[in-house]
Amino acid sequence: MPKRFIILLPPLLLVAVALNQLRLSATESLSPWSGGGFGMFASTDSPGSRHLHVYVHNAGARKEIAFPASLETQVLRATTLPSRYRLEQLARAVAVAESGSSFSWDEIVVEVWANEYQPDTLMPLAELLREERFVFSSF
Amino acid sequence: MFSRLFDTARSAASFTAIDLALRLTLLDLLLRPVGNWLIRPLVLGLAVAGLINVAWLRQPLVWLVLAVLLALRVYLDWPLADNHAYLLVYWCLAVALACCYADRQILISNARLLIGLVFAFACVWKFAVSGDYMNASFFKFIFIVDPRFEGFVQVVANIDLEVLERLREHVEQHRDGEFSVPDLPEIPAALTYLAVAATIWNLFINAALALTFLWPGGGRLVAVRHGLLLSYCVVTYAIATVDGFGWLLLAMGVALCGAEQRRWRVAYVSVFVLILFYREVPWAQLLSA
Repeated sequence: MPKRFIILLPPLLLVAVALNQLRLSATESLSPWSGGGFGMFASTDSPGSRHLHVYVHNAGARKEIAFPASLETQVLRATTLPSRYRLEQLARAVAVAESGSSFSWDEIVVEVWANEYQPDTLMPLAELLREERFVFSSF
Repeated sequence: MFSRLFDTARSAASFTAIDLALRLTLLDLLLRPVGNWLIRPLVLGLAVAGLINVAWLRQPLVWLVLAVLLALRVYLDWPLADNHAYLLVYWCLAVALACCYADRQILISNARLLIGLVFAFACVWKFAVSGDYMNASFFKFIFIVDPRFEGFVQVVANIDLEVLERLREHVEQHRDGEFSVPDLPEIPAALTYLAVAATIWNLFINAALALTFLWPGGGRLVAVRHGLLLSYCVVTYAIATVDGFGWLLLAMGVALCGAEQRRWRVAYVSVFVLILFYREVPWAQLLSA
């Protein structure tokens, strides 16, 4: 590898990671604050201002699941980058936790919401960023 | 190998600038430890070793291992690590390359480009991508919800804590798509003016830093770069206590100081200490009390 390229590796890495962060932000709703794109302190859409809900469904009803503390980091990861893969990982963990529940269910729905704020009043308006449905035959 | 780097340096003062940059980087790692229980002791151990032993300070392998450990931390934390974590990886890699090739110019080029790119991408977000930065909504929001700004907002905008808490309660609610208009607390005009001023200042300083650091060449531009970077750190980290990022920017900035720039080196070290003061002394809370 030529020296000229190697010595510029750090800035090249920075550009590659930052462009990927812009891509993930546009396509997978990655929070501007995360991912190495230097979008911190540039948007109200921080991971902390997002919220996530998980429901178990059956034909006639749904129940919202309260997360155990053990899933806290997984929830934060899924809220920050709500890709289908991450939401599925979370849904699988919920499926395991709910497998012995008295509420019979056949589907898990994961929703990730972000808030937008009206410029003058800062009135929050929630926007559904992503909703994914999962059916796990093994449970 | 690294000793050759310093043999070819123009003077002892150049030596001091590079040495100082490396030491400030290690101090940043010590003062703001990073990583989990496995990575953190290794990073701290290498930082201490580099600070007390000059041979380790200039050893490329030390910096390469630091870069790998810090990259591992970003990987394990994905996507939660903040921007500071990524920049630390790039900077430690740049130091490792400079040590390996025994060429201080590599460190200078990397420092200039990394700082310029950090602010260029910050500008992309603030000017073009973010929908709520240019209209000052972001600063209104962050001044209300982030407790780190509480003292500053109370002092500068003269807003009571009670008013701030009522606004925070209003802003932090979430409605899951349902819109209703409850009793909206009015945002004080002083807070709006402060948010507008903060927006203008940040747009200006971010763009100026990106342009001056990415623009090639030296001459008068060198002094402008140092002046802008130091101003940014003095103002920003007095209000936003993100000290680790500030210290890293200063470590990179001091690497750019030439042989004749002793005053700039002193200024960088002074601002480094000032940020430590900002962290340890809650000046805004004390004034507001």
